[in-house]
Amino acid sequence: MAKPLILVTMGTNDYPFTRLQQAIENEPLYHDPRCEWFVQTGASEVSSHPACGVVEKLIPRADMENLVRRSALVISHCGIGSLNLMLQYKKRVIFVPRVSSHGEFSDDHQLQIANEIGNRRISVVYPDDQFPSLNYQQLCDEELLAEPVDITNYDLAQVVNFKLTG
Amino acid sequence: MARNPVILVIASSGGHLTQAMCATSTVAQELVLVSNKNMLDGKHFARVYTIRDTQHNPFIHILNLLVAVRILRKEKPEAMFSTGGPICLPFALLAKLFRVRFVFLDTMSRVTELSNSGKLIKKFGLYDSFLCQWSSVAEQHSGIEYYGQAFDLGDNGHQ
Repeated sequence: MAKPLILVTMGTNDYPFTRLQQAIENEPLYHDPRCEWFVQTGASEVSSHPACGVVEKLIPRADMENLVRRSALVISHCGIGSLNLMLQYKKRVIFVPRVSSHGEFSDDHQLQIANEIGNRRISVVYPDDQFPSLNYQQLCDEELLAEPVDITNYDLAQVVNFKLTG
Repeated sequence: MARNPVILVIASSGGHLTQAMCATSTVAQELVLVSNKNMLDGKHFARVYTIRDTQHNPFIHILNLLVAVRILRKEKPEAMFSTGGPICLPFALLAKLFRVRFVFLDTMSRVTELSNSGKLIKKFGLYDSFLCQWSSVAEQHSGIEYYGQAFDLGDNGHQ
């Protein structure tokens, strides 16, 4: 059986996200060869590599989509690009909003968007929360969606089309 | 100026770009992207121009203004669309100068107030249409329209 993939994405912006980097490196499954990890670090650096897996700064969007499709769990900063992909593939997600008080962004808009996500598959780890412990068996049992669900708001797209060309 | 059947889309990489792709999903014209990174390999855009990010040095806007003039001269778009971030500002200014229609959709990530780019575009009237993605933000301003978020944040999505 294939190893369950845990995807970590910290986005494409220029701020480091040390809190998330430390949280995943403290996670026992990070050092467990039964799990595969892919860590997209952006402006952060990891101090240790996972027992099994890859660490990259940035990857093309299509590669990211492939990884999202394959992953049993996504651990992500609370960016809109990440959120879109996770929703399309109905992923179980642990969102960690970047906050300005830790130098992780210029403002706290990721906290605001985190508050708006009413989705049962997505849990949010707020700055004072303990990072949840991961369960290997739960990762193995996760069902993977082969094709994305279309979540585009076509009503808005039609309005934009009309405004641009009408 | 004779215009080409091209819509120029200006969107920073990541979330801004994702929203721009959703919001332009029904546009029939050729879409040409201007972004700060080129991590795309899909079919949504016919061409991609990269310009420098302004996050750490606002003077880059001046350089980008020159690059924007060159892009506009080459593409001659019939309209422009942006979801931000700040890289859109020179294009918004030139849209006004060159009388090219400019439609701005403020980013979904700003739940309680407009983004900084959105505030500037609103303040100086650098738009033909201004949309935002939260009703509470639209209610704070006159002339801003609200039609929901670029994609569904709920549990299901369309099947």
